[in-house]
Amino acid sequence: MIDFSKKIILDGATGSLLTERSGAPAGYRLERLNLENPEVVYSVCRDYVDAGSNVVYTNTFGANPLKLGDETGAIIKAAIDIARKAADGRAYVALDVGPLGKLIGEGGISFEEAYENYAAVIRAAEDRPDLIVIETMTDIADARIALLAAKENSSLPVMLSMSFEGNGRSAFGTDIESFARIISGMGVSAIGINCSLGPVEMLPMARRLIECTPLPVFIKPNAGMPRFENGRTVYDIDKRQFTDAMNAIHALGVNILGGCCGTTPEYISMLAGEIKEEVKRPAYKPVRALSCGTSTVTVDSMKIVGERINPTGKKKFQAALREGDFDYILAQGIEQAQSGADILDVNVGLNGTDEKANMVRVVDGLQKVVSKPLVMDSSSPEVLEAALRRYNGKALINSVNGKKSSIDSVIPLAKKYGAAVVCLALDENGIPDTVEGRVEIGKRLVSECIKAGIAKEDIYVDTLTMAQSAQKGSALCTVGALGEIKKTGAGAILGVSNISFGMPHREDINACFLQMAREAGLDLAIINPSLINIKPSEYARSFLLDVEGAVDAYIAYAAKTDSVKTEDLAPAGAPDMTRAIVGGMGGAARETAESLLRELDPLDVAAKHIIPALDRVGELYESGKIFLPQLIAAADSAKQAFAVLEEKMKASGVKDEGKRFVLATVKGDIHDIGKNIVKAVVSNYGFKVVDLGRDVDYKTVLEAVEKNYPCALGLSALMTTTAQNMAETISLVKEKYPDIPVLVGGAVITPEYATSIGGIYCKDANATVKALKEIFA
Amino acid sequence: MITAQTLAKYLGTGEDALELAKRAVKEVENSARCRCVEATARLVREDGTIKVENTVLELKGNDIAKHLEGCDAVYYFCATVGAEVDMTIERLKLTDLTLAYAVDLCAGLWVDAYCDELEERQRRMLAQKGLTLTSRFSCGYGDLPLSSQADFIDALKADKFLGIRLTAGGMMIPSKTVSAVAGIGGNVRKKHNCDVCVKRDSCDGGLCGD
Repeated sequence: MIDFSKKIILDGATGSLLTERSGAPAGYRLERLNLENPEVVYSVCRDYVDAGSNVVYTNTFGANPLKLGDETGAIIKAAIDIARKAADGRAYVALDVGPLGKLIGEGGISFEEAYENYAAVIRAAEDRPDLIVIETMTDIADARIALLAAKENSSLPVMLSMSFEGNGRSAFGTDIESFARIISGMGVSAIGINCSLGPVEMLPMARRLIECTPLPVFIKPNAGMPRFENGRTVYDIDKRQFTDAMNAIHALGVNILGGCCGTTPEYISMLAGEIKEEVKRPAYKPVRALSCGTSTVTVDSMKIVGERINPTGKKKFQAALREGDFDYILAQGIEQAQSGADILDVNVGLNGTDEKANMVRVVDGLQKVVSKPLVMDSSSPEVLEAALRRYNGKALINSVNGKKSSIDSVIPLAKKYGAAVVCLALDENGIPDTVEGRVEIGKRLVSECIKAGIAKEDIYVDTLTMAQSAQKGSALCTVGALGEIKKTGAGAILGVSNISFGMPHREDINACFLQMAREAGLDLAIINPSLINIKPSEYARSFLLDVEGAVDAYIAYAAKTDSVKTEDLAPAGAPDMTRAIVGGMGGAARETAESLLRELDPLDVAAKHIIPALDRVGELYESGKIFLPQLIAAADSAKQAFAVLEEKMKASGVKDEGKRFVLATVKGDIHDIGKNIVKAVVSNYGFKVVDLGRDVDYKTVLEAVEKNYPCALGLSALMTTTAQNMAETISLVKEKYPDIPVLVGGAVITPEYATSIGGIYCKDANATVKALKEIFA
Repeated sequence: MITAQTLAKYLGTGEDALELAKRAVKEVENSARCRCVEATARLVREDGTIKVENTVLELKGNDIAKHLEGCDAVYYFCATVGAEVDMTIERLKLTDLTLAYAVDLCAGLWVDAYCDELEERQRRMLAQKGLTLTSRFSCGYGDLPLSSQADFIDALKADKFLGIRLTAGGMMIPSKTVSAVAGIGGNVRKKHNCDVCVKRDSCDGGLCGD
C-alpha cells in the first residue's frame, strides 16, 4: 500500500513525449495510441520507471466517453495493462483522470452527465491500478465531480491536483486556499498542483497549499512556460534549472514530486537522483474556514451569515418560490453580499413546493453571481445532500441536532462532502432551558462529530436563541451556554433575531443581543447584515439582562413615549377587572373576581368582566399598543381570576360546558411557544384546553380527539417539514371525524396552505379565540 | 482597452449614455483578465483541403480558403477576457439590467480590442522577417463551421492553458472568448471580411476600424 507521507517521485510528461515519439499531430487523442501503438506508450512508461518514478500515470488523461465514445473502456484497460507491464513491480500504477473538457451546468452538460462520464472511466479501471490521480483541473466543479465519482465507484486511494495561473487562480477563478479547503475534507490521500506553470512560478503556490491543508502535498510543474513553434509546444527551462527549482519546493516539505508538460525521463532521472528522503513539513495550523469556488472566509473574528434567503414569514419570497421566480431569490443573495454578509444562509423549505429541486436551483444560481460561501439550511437530510453534492465549495450544514436520527443522517454528510456543521443544542426532550442542559447536548454533538472524523474547527454549536418576551432568562441562557461551548474549542453560531420576537423595535434588541453574544465569543451571527451598524440602547440591554421593570421601560422607550401606563390602556373609568388584567396584575384580578362573586354567579363574572377585559387586551395587542410580554402577563392575570371562579364552580357543582379544545404541536416540531400562548389565552375564554404538548404523534392526536369528542382541534407547526406532518395529522383525524373543526397556525402556515389541508387558519391567539367563539356559538 | 467614449457610441447619445458607459468600463476593467494561447504553423494544402501542419486543425469551407489565398502559413490563437466577466454580467442581470447590457457589449469590444492587439503585435514581428498578415478569421464566419472551434481548442490546448470549455451548442465559455486564424504570406493584405461579417447590417464601415 502506497504511503503518501513518504518521498514519492512521480513521472513526467506523457503527452508531449507521445506526440514526439509517435509523430501524432497537436490535438490528436493520444489515448488512442494505447490500442494503435502500445509499444510507444510502453516505451514512455518504461523510461519513467527506469528514470526512478515510483508512480507512473496511465495514458488516459483524455480517456472519457465524451472524447472517445464506445472505445473508452478498451482504451483504459489497455493503458492499465501497458503501465503495469512497464512498472514491473518497481512502481505503482495510477489511473490518470483529466477534465472532461465540457462546460458543466447551464448551457453545457448536466451535473449528472458529468458524473456518469467520470464514473464510466473509474469503473472501466475495475480497481486494477494502485491509485487514482485526478489532475489538471481548472474548474473546481469538474474536480469535485471526478472525486465523487472516484470515491463512489472505487476503493482506491485518490490524489487530486488543479492547475493555477500566475495570479494564483485557476482559469475558472479558484484560488489555492479555496481549493485546499474544499478538497482536503473530501477523502483524498494527497492534494497538489500541476501543469500551467514552471517550478519557479509554482514555489509560492506550493507554500500556500501546505499552509492550507493537513494532507500530503504533491507538485508536478511544467518544464517552464510554454510557447508554440510550428504547431509544437516547447518549454523554456532545462533539467538542471527544473531540478534546482524542485529542490526548493521539496525543502518546503513537499515530498511528492514529478513533472508535467515538457518534462522528460531525463528531468525525472535527475530529480530522482537528488531527492533522497522526505523533508518534515511545517505543522498544519487548523483554521476555521468556509469556501466557495472563488473565495474563502476565515472565521477568525465574528462573521455575518445573511439570513434573508429564507421563506419563513416572507410573503414575497414565498410567492417567488411558488412561481419559480429564482431571479428574485438570487437578487436577495447579491444584495446581502453587497451590504456586508460574509456568508449566505440558504433555506428554501416551503410547504407545497419541491424543496430539493429548488435548493439545487438556488445553490447553482447563487454560485454564478455571488462569491460568498453558502450555508445549506434544511431539516431534510435528502435536501442537504442534494445541495452539498452540487455545491462547489466547503459548505456549512445547518444543522444536526441531538436526536439520534439526526446524528445518524446528517453527520455522515458533513464527513463525505467535507462540510462544516452546525450542532443545535436540542434533542428528543426538546430545548433545555438551562445553560447546563444546552451545553451537555452541545458537547455530546461535538464529540459525535469528532468521532465521525470531522475536524473540531469545522464544528459550530448553536445554543439556540429563544424569544426573551416569552421566556425570561432566555438571552442569558443562550449566551451563557455559548460561553461554555467556546471553552471546549468548538465554534459558536446563533440566529439572532428570534430574541426579539413579539417586541417592538426589534433591531435594537437584536443589536444588543448580538453584542452580548459577540462578547461571549460568537463566531457566526445569522442576521440581517445592516444590524451590525446599529448601536443598541441600554433599555434593550436591561431587557435582555432581566432587570426588574425593564420590559415596560423598553416598550415605553420603543414607543417613543415617557411611559405606557395602565391609565392609557385602561382608563380610570374602566371596570376594575379590565384594569387588573390589562395591567397584568394577577393579585388584583384575583381580588376583583372574589369581590364580584359576592354578587354575581361565576358564569356572569366570566362573561361580563373577564372576557371583556381579555377582548380589550386582544384589541390593544392587535393595534400594537401592547406587546407579547404584556399579552402573556394579561393572560396569566386572567387565569388567576378564573381559578377563583373554578373553585366556586367546583364547590357548587357547575358542570363542564363541553367546549373542549384539543391542542398540539405536530409531530417532529418542538417549537411550542406559540401553542402555549394560544393555550393561555384560549383557556381564559372558558374553553377546556386539552394540551397534548409538542412533537405529538398522529395517533396520539386521534386518540385525544376520540376521548374528548365533540371538540375542536388546534395544531401548530413552525417548520416547513413539519407542516407536512400537520397535513398527515388532519387527514388521519378527518377520516374518522370529517366534521371536526381544525384550527391551524404557526410561522410557516399560510391561509392557502391551511385551506388546502382542511384547516382553518388562525394567525395568532386572538384569531384562535375568535374562531372558537364562532364554532361554539 | 475600451474607453467610455467609444462604448457610448454603441450605447446611444447623450450624457446618460456616457455615464452608463463609464460605469460599464469600470466593471470590465475590474473583472477582465486578458490571456491567450497563440501559435504559428505552416499550411498544408492537399486534395482541396487546408490543414495546419502538425495539428488536427483543418480549415474547411470556401470562405476561409479565399481568405488564405497566397498564404503559406497561419497565425492562430485563442484569446479570452476570463471567467470573472461572465460572473459580473450574470450578477448585474439580476440587479441592474441596463448596466448588464452595457457591460456585455463592452466586454465583447474588449476581447476584440485584445485580439487586435495580438494581431498587430504578430504583424510587427512578421514585418521584421519581410512577411505580412491578413486580418483574422473566426469559426462561424462564412462557411468555416462553428464546430471547428473544438479543434482550435485541442490544437492550442486552450482547455488546459486557458480553461476554455464548450457549451453543448459549441459556444466557448468564458463567453467573451475568441479563437481565430490569420494568414501569413509574402505579400498578403490586411483585409476585412464584410461579406461574412455578422455585424454587416449594423455597421457603417467603421466597426473594425477601417
